[in-house]
Amino acid sequence: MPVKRWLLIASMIAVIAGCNTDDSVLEPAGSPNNDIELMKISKDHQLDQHISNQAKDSMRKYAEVTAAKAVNTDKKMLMAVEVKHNERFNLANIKKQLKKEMEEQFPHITVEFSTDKKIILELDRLEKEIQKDIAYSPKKLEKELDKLISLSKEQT
Amino acid sequence: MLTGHQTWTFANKPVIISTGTVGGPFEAKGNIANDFDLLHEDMWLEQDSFEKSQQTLMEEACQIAVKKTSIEKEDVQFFISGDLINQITPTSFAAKTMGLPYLGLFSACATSTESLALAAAIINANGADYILSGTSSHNAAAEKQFRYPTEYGGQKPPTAQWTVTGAGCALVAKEGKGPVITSATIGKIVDMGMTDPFNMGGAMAPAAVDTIETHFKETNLDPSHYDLIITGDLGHIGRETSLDLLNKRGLVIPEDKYVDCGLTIYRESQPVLAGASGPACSAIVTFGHFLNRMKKGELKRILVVATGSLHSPLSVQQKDPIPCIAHAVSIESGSDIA
Amino acid sequence: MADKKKKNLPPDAQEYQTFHDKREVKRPILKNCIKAFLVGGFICFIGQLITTFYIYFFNFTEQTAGSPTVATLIFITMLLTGFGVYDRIGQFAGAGTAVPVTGFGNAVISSAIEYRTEGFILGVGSNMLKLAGPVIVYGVFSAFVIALIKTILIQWGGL
Repeated sequence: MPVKRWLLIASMIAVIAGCNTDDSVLEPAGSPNNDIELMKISKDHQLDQHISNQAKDSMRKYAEVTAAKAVNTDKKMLMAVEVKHNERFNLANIKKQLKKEMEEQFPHITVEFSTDKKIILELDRLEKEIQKDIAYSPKKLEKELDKLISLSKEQT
Repeated sequence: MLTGHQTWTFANKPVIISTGTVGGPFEAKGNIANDFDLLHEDMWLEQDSFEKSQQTLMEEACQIAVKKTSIEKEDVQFFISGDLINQITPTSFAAKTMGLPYLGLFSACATSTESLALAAAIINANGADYILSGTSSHNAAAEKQFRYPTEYGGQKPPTAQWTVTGAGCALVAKEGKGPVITSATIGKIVDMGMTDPFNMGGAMAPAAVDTIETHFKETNLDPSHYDLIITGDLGHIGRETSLDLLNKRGLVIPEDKYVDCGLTIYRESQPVLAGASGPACSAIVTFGHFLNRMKKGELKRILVVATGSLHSPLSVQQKDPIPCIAHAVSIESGSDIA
Repeated sequence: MADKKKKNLPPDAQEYQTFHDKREVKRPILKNCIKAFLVGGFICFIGQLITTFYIYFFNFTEQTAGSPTVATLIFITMLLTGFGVYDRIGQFAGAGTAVPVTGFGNAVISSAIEYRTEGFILGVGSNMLKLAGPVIVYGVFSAFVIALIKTILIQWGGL
């Protein structure tokens, strides 16, 4: 019996601790995180990607972020980050915090934020395509981005 | 004929003139595969349901038993049998095929000795010349009714037992060559409040003890009278518990003279947990294995105590205890050997 | 609980049960827990592989890859159940194969196979959820209770 009681208490503590909501889950680290996997689109590119570059750069201050991908048009930006595996317990809060931060940094455009592996993969593909193709048409980008945004919002 | 309250002694010595034992694929891999008359490779026996294949097992066992003798099926007066599937329908359908006057029994795993005792009693009283007695069970049919679907992946406790697929049949006659039935003790229901259907050995052990004790008291015999005392399907737990309980009550039976059919039929390496069970277990092992040993002269006198737990899935779900019973039959080697 | 149950029995039954309990082989709980943990973890590992496969090679996100993963696992379970392997793994792993979705699939599929001999309507149809039915009933019921508690807390507790 005592074993069962202890198990019950332990599981309740675990549940309560799991429900702990802390708004600021990521703290800026002292030194910039250079291990982060990100690719900047050249400034000379016909498509203006400096917002995305800036956004990706600002992720450097967090040691927990392992990859950052972003693509933007004039009106919107889709960004996806990957965090260290054991930080995934706090994924929802991290996403909330970073999204808020990005929205404050770029108030003039709509920011879509994701932590989904699929979106990271797709953004990576898109970034590389843009990088390779100097004449990537803005219309095509708009279409691709809309497709990805709707994918990121898909629910089961 | 009646000795004491529960025991019959048979002055006219009814004879088991032949037996028929049929088994399934799992039994073929077991310990006593050579003692079967017929072994099947297929659980279905080419039938379209497990219940029908159990019926086929019963029919085959009866036909084999009759075929081994010089008599015809029409010479047999009665068919006394039963099993544990819904209202004993497999046995009833087998009886239809046999076309014999039929007495249906339900005593779960104790049916083998119950039918043998009744057949002996009728023959002893000149009620018949030839009687077929026996029983059958089918692993998948029993699992389906009493437990879970065959392919369900639930974990069974180490006390669970494996229902035997097979049928055993004995042809009892007024005279002839073969082992004779000398006495039988009809058991009482013993209910020790055990409720776990996955531990039938533990539930049935006190019933076996009760019947064995009564048998020795009423026949004024000593355990040393028998070469072997054979219990039906107590399994590891039930055998150990009943042996300790017998010793505690002052009936000292040596460890090697107290055997269990449920532990004889399969190899230790087969995944049967506590042992085998099912009506066919005691029928096959007694009529096949032990009577063969008796014919070879290895055994002279045996006491077969088949135990049955008479619960239904309904009574278990309604939290009722398992009522248990045990019937004992004493078999001695016939005059042709002695 | 066992002691309470014994109190209502006659003394000889109580005595026998104590006598018997000493000889009963108990379930090896710790060993079973470890086996269940390892096998259950392995099933989840396969599930993760399938999820990753769907994310990389099909147009599924982490959110939407769940459904095809479950369907694939149940399909694998169906094959294992039909070939008579799943019950053997289940005897070894216990809760490890019963708790993941494969256990639910096995409960439905094994019942469907078992009652095929009674026909498709009264056999398969009415017995298919014989084992899995309680899961559905109490799953829906507990979801309702939890939703009720959440609503009450949000409405009056100001969470």
